[in-house]
Amino acid sequence: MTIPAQAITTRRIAKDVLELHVGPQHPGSGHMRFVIRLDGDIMVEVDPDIGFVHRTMEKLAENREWLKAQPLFERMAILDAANVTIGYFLALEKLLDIEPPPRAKYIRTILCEISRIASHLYGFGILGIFLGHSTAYMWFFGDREVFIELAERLTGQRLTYSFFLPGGVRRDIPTGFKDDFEKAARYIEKRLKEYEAIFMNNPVIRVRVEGVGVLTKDMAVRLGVVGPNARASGVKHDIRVEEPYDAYPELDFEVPVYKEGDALARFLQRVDEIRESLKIIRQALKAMPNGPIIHERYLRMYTKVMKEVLETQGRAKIPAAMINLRPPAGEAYARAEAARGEYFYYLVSNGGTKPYRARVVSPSFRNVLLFKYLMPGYRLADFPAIYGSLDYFPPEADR
Amino acid sequence: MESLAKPIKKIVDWATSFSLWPVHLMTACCGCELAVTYAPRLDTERLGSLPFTHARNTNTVIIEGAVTKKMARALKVTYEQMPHPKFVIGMGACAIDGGLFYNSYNLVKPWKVVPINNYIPGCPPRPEALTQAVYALQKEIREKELASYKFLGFLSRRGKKEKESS
Amino acid sequence: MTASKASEVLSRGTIRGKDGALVINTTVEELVNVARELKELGYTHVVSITAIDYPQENKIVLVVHASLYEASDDRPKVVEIRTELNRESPVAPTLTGVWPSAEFQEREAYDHFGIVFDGHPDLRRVLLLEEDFKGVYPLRKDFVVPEEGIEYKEGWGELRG
Repeated sequence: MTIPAQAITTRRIAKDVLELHVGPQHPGSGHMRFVIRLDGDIMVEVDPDIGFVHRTMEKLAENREWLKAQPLFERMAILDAANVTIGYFLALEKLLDIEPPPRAKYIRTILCEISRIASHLYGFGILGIFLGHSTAYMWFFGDREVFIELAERLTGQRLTYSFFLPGGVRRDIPTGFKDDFEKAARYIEKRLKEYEAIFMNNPVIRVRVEGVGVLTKDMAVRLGVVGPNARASGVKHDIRVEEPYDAYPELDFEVPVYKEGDALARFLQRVDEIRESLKIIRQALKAMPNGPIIHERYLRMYTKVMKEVLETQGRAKIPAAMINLRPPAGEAYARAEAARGEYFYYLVSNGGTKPYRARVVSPSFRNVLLFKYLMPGYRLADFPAIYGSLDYFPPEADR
Repeated sequence: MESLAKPIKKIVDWATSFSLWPVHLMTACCGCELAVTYAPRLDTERLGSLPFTHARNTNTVIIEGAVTKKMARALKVTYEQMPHPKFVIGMGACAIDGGLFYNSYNLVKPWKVVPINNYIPGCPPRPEALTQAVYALQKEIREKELASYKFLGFLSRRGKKEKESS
Repeated sequence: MTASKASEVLSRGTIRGKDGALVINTTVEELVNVARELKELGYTHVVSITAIDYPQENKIVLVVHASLYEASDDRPKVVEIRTELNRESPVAPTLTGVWPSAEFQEREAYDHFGIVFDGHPDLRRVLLLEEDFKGVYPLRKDFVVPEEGIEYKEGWGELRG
């Protein structure tokens, strides 16, 4: 069995300290490596070694037209594709100085919330498999299929929707969508009650996650932590409330905040977020305004055939001016709230058809610091519990 | 002795094809669809394939998605640790020729690192496509005797020694 | 108290019309002082540290975005600090003394552009491997990524590799 020589190196480290590599191939899922230095069973130092999935998206976006960056950035967090790309289109619309019509805003909100629910259920499945509870993995993934089917009825795709356009969306809501959603919502609410008995009040799971990985509010503010990890430590920070976009200013929802900051609080906070998302979708479907789904400026460029397709089938085709989009020179930033935290987009344009610089910061990249500062002091057996509760997603951190 | 070769080889191929255990190595974003394939909607465990944790106890690698330069080293080391006979399935457009990131400076073509048996197009491929690829690999193992090629050498050497001694 | 603090913040720079960010242009020597003043005014963490490369004007612009949690008044939520660096050997002071959340962001800026941060506790590449990319900083404009053209090329249609 030949292993290439340059793939394995040895070096001498200090006495009584064991260096353990939790490498890219490990029981669990996650393409990253942690170099953990152990003193007996207690972790002394943790060094995250990321970059295994670095697909150089920022450089590739500089060579492609503005609209082609959507499939590129979607693959950062493929299971949450709507929330990841909405920030890019908010920044692009600020550069172009347009706003989508009200009906398009509501449709965007509905898709974003469906995406958020599916992503949280995936996170619970991964937490279950890290703790060794493979029944939780199976059940959560089975329930996630309900919402993926719902998104497929709206957009036609399971995971990579590519649904947004600068100034609107691509499809209208199909008939019968409201009844489908009601069925899905009733199903998942019943299941969440069952999970409380099987998963959350399970004594074995509780012992492993309660009081483990405590993140104090002071440390969370200092390290710039975002998303459910910050909200479970007492920091009330949600971009949907601070810099509202789309239909969020007109809808009524709460942001759950817990104070303990341990792994159990992070888990319970996400369950509450699923319930709030269901509330948001229900309100949006009830208050959906009528009107076009794409902005006036592009609707004027439509030919007769394209207008007919829009009226009969509800599909918005892309006019030629949108493919050769030339936003005026300038810079703009935009933030959006995804399931794992806030996305930050910063676009620089010099008047051409391709971006001059497209900067994206994902929440997992901002949460990598937590591995370095939160883990030391706990036992090695707590490592999977803390990792699973932080909901760290490597392709998003590496971009 | 020769008359036992064919049934033994058939049993070995049949048994290997119904125990293709992939190792837990997620290379990039198609890993989400891999996780869904082994979930209740499309339970691929009924085909005998169980994702297992350690490289030394498994015999399949499913390369999902883009392989970067850092990950190529880990992929090669994992592949070398697995015992023969082993198989590789390349999943997604990124495993075929780079996919959406075709001109990236950090990507490696996976067929230059490990030999690949089956390719699955799609970005990401539907879970049904992955199940079909596992099924097609099973049929290929049984028809082309990919797992029992070593038995032929063992039995024919035994046969030759008996002929020489008699 | 809050009204005077908000106006103190606004007096540092200008508000950009498109997105409402507060833009502050400063020099390399003043960077840490500006950061410290912003931290006193309540901006507690860094959102992004990146750079933009202008090869014709022979400069690299370092762009730092900082933000705050739980604001009590309506001061601008995101502050943008821009500095110009020399393109031949870009050197900047580190911000990890003021904002600990800048640690991995500065490593990424070093990885992509080659900007050396003075005083950073652990400056090494974070996303790319050193042995593959020694001395090469990919996000600069002189690192060109090959692109397929739409005109027909010789050998198209044959099996590659």
